[in-house]
This record gives sequence, C-alpha cells and structure tokens, in this order.
Amino acid sequence: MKRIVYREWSVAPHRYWALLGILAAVAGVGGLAALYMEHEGHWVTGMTNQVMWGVPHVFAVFLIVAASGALNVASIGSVFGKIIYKPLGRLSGLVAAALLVGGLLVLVLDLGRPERLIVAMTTYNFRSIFAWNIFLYTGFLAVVLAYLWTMMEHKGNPYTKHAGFFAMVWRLTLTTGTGSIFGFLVARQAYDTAVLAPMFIAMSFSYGLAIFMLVLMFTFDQDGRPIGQAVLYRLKNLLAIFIGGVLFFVLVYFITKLYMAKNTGLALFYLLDGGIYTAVFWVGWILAGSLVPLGIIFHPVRGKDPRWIAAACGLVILGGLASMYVIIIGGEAFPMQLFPDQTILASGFFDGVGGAPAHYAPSLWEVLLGLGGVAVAMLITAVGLRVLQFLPESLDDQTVDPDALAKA
Amino acid sequence: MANAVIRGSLLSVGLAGALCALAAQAAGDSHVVPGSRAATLEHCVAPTPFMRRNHMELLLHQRDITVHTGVVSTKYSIVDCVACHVSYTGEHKPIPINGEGQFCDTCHEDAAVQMDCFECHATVPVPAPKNGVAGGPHGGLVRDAVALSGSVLHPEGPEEGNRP
Amino acid sequence: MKETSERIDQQRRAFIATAAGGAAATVVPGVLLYTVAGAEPRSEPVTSAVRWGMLIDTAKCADGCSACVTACDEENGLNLQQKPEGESEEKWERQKSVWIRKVRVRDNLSGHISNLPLMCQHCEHPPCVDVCPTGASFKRADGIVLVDRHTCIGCRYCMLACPYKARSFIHERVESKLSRVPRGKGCVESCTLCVQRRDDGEASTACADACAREGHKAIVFGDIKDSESPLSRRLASMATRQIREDLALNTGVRYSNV
Repeated sequence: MKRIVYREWSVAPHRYWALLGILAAVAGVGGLAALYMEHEGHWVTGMTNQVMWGVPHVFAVFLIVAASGALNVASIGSVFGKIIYKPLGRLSGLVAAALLVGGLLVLVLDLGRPERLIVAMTTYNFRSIFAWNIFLYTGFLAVVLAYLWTMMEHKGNPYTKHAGFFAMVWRLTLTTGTGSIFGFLVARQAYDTAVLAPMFIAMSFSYGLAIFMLVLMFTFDQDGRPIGQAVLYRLKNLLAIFIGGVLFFVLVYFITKLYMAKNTGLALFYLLDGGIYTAVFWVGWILAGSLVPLGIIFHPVRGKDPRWIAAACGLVILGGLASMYVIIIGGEAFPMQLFPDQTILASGFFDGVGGAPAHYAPSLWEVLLGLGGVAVAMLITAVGLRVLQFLPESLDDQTVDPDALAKA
Repeated sequence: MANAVIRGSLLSVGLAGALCALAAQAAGDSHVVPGSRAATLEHCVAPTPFMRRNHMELLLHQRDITVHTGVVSTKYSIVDCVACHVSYTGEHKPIPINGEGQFCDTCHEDAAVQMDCFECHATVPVPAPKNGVAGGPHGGLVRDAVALSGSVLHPEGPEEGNRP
Repeated sequence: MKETSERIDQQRRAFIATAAGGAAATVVPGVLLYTVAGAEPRSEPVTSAVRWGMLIDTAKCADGCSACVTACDEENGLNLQQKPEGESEEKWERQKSVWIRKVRVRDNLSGHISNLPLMCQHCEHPPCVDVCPTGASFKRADGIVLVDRHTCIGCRYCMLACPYKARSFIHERVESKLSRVPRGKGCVESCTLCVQRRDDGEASTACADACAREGHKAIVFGDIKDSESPLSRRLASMATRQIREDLALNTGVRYSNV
C-alpha cells in the first residue's frame, strides 16, 4: 500500500455551511421538542403506562448500537491487521464517537427528569445493567478519543494496535450490555433471553457498517475523491456477511421461542397476528432491511454500482430502525402473560384484555427528538471532517492495494 | 502601590457590605408571612440564621431518613414546615406556600435559587382523607394550624385550597 | 472578618444553649396535638423484624366491585389527578396513574371466572430494584418496595422490568397532591402498601379496610414474619400462590383460589 495522505474535507464553503445549517436546524428542532416534552410532561407523547419506551428509545438504542459497530472497520484494520481497512480507521472512530453522542443525547433528553442527570451520573446501583451502561457509553467516548489519537498522532502510532484491541473489547462489552438491557428482563416474553446480547452485537456490525459506508461514499463523492472497487466491494461483501449474521440470530430467536409452548403466542404475535408489528417485522426488518440489500449486494450488475450499494446501505439503516421498533415497542405491546392458560376479560390497567396488544401511536415530538439525535451525530461528523484530517485523499485501487490490481 | 490601594478599598467595601448584611439579619428582617402560624412563634425549629443557612441541608438529610427508614416523627419534616409557614387569605383559605410573595419566594426569588420541592410536595396542608382511621402527625398539625388560624378547612376532602 | 467569626461563635453558643430548651418546647406541642389513641408516628427506623404482606382470597372478591381501587385513589391522592387540557379521554386513561386495578380472568379450559385486585407485589427479589440505575427503586427493611422520588430520574426502566406491570409514570404536572403522599411529574410510582399509614402506626391499608367495609373481606393485610398475625395464620391454613410464581420472586402479596 502506498503511503496514505489524509486531508480535511474540502467541499465548497457554501455547500458545507448549507449542510451544517440543515443539520443544526434539525438538531435545534429536536432540542425544542425535548424541551416541550420536559416542560409539559410526557402526556404530549404517545408513550403510556403500557408502552413506556417509544420512538426516542428506538432511535437512541439504534444510534448507540450503530456507534459500537461503526468502530468495527477500525478494529479490522488495527487489531486484525487487514491492510486495506487501515485508511478507513480514522473516519470509523469519528463516526463511532459521533453516533454515540447522538444516541446518548436522545436517551438523556427523554428522561422524565432530565435535570437529574447529575444524580444519574453520581448515584449508582451496580446491580443495574443500565448503570453499567452509563459507564460503558461515556467510557467508550474516552476510549475512541484515545484510539483516534494513536491513529492520528505520529507519536501514537506504535500504540494503535493496543488501543484498537482495548476499544474492540470495550465496544463488544458495550453492545452486550445494551442487548442485556432487554435480555435480563424476566417480565416480558419478548426479552428474557440471552440471545439478545449476541444479536445486538450482530446488529451493531451491520448497522454501524451501513452508516459508515454511507458517510464514506457521501463525503468522497462530494469532494471528488475516488473510492476504488477494491475497497468498495470489500465493504459491501462485509455488509452482506453482517446482514446474514443478524438473520441467523433472528432465526435462532424465533425457532427457540416457537418451540416452547409458553412462548408460541409471542412468536406468532411477531410473525403473524401482531398487526403493525408483524408488518414492520416482515416488510421493514426482513424484506427491506435484510433480503433486498442482500439481493442488491449479490446482484451481478447492481452489486457493482455504487449508487445501488448506497441504496442497500440506506435500506439496512431503515431495517435497523424497524428492528428496534419491533423489539422494543413490540415487546412492550405484547400482553404480559400474568395468568397463563387464562384469558383476561377485564382490567383496570390495560392488561391485554382478550389478548389485545397495548396501543401505541408515536407522536411528532418523539420523532423530532430522534431525528435531532441523528442530526447531532452527523453534525459532529461534519465538523470533525472539516477541521481535522480524518479522510484519506484517495481510496482508489492503486493507492490502496497495488498487489490486488496486479493480480486482476 | 496603586494596586494595593485599590485592593484595600475593595476589600473594605466588601467587608462593610458583609457586615451590613449580617447586621440586617441580626436586626430581624423577617421573611415569615403574616397570617401563618410561624408568625406567632419566636423562631423556627432552630434559630433563624441557622435555618436560613442550613434548611436545605436539614431537608436533604431528613428526606433520605424518612424515605428509607420510615422515620416521620421529626421536627425537620417538610410537611410541618408547610403547615407552619403557610399563610391564609381573608376567607381563611391557605395560600400555596410557593406562590409569589409567599414564604419561600421572599428569599428564593432574591437568591435566584429554583426549588422543585413542590412539584411533588403539597403546597398547602392537605389532610389525610377521613375513611376510617384519623391521620397522624400531619393530620394533627393541620388540625392545630386550623384551630390557631380559625380556618374552616374541612379534614374530609382535599377539594379546595390546593390550586395555585 | 474577626467580627464576623465572633458573631458566628455567639450564634453557635446560643444555638446549643437553646437546643435543649427547644427540644423540650417542640415536644410539648406534639404531645398536645396527638389526641388519637394508638396513632404513633414512627420515630425509630424500620427493621426487618417485620415483613408486610397481603393475602387476597379471590373467591371473596366480588365481580364489579372496585372499593379497593376507590379507597386507594382517595388515600394516595390519585383521585386528584386531572387530565391535561387538550388531551383525549382515551389517551388519558392509558397515561394516568393506577396503583391497584381489578382484573377479571377466565380459565381457558374450565371457563371458571375469577376476580382479583392486582398491585405491586412487593417481591423479596424485586426486578424493579435490580434494574434501577440510580437505586431510586428500593426495598425497605420491612419489605415494602418503594420509589425514592428524590432520586428517580424517570427513565421508566423499572416499568419495563416489572413482571406485574405494577408501576405508573406521572406524565403530567401534578397540581393537587396530599401532604402525606407527595407525587410529581416525571417520576415513577406504585403501590406503597400505604406506607404513610405504616409510619403513622395505623393497622392496615386503605384497600384492605375498604374491602372489609364492603363486607367482602377478600384482602387481609399483616406481618408475614409474625406467625401469630391473622395474615400468617390464614396463609398457613390454606393453599396460596404467587402470581407468576415461576419467576421465584417471593412476593409479599399472595393469592388464593386463582
């Protein structure tokens, strides 16, 4: 590989400021939505005492999971020594940190009492995986910053492998912790399973890489920098593997749940008669989010076209949001089985009368808050790219891997 | 030299101001609202200057004790603070204690310290409902406050008197 | 500065000198105030010598009766809840706080119908306490599971974790609340086994009293650890179970005939 030159993102100033302006506006609107929800109280949202985690948590968990996965590219370069990934390491770190900040922001702003964040940061119950996650999330930022330093500062280069290994272990722990937020809960049949931890790890790889690829392709395209086939095809095939990984865990999840008499109801709820949750699962997660992107990636013609590859990445992201919706909100909506083999005829607190799922309709404020978090993540990325040298000047085949070209 | 003179004069001005403030406190500019039970008493559960500086510490400490160990028989109960310091309208209706110009506001407005106690805690004494057993200390204090101020607050239903 | 510290010292001396007198002075009005026999406000911390619990005999629970719910609402100020202006009734029903609810179930095989009140089960191993990031959800020494609203950040994780869906989140500004039951926007709450009554030396919970007043006597409240208490004797005399007993949470609330 030739020596890689990194340069700041240099699109025309007016376009850059326009981009910043749009992102700042979306972030600002998200902030105002959060302020409104905090001031009035959560009655303005669609969240209720039956579905208490809604669209903000869908976005927050998605962003946090994707953040952990976005660092994957850097890990493959630093820890596993795949040379072709090394030029991508810096961008990978930036995107990972940015996504995490965005996700954390949405999570914190949705609290019933966000002004008590200081309490959350100083008072801990260490039996709670949520408390551990607070450390894992904030620590992740510190770890990524250190990792970036080793990559970007010449003096730090000898330590990149060590920092990379540490960051990799940290993010796998973080994603395990995020999956365990749900996996540890005995209360709800949709959760209560150890397979959620590795499933979340697989999802992080998939969604993080999809976002990373979109950012890479967009920034290079805007700045006229080339991405060669060697890098692009490598990344898209990797994405296919990760999508497959998620599908595997989904399959295992459902086969296991279907096998157990007590969980058959839940499995069929997701697969057949869950109304919107079934629709979002099949159309959003499986079809649009997994099978169609796989189809694109392995298509002999479309799979080689950067625009189609970008479309596949976009679909994976939408599928990711759909997956979070199904898991989190679907899991809450499914009636809690308080009396197995009995039917609840009436309840003063919406206990799934006649097996009916809980009602939830997202409000505008929740969606705005979620989008605001995405905008903050993109804003941080945009500013970082412009100010520091995260992006390689070129990723074309000659720069990246002359040997591959010689073989071809 | 000039620096020393400036610093010296600033220091003296500051000292004088501090002394004036202390003198004012000692001279007893009371923040207790007329019409409240507190207005009839010499001082609070501790001397006024102590309470002014430390009431938050007392409340913070006591609330943990009450919530975690159940001890409610204490002179630092916020419920009793409210019952004693709340004032009443001409028609003997209690005025919410965190209202403008009321007891808490007179200091907290100047000090620009926002308090959120009354997002959860009742701003007027609201007695326990009478459906069987009569209330304990909080109910008792309300009855006493009621007797002292001649209010016609009913101990049965908390329908009135609690809206700001 | 010297004068200032002298002033403080004087104040400290005065405080210590009057503390003894003040203590006596504060006790006396208290003695005068408490005229109700047996209503002893708690002055010693709770211990684990006691564990509060309940037995609900669903055979005695009457269909269509909600006296326990009404009593709980009155006792805890839940009947003061007001729908925020501009919200639909339907959404308000789903967002307002409910600490105890009546549930009617029918057995799928036999068709037998049971009625029962359902509230926080005050588990010995509460999942809500395990998951709370700040420790606001905690179990008191005497077994009552509570939310410390000073520490609660309103994350609603405990609501997700509760196997009985017992917790409620306060979605709106609370304008009216009782002195003994503070509650406010942004925190989570659930049945407290009438902790304000526990700490005032009252014998029972509002729901148990209301059920007895209605003549059903389906709810028995008492001390599980006292083998002589009416509750313990009842528990020993009949087959009872926990709801979702497979979770092995050792709930303080037990049910019979369901």
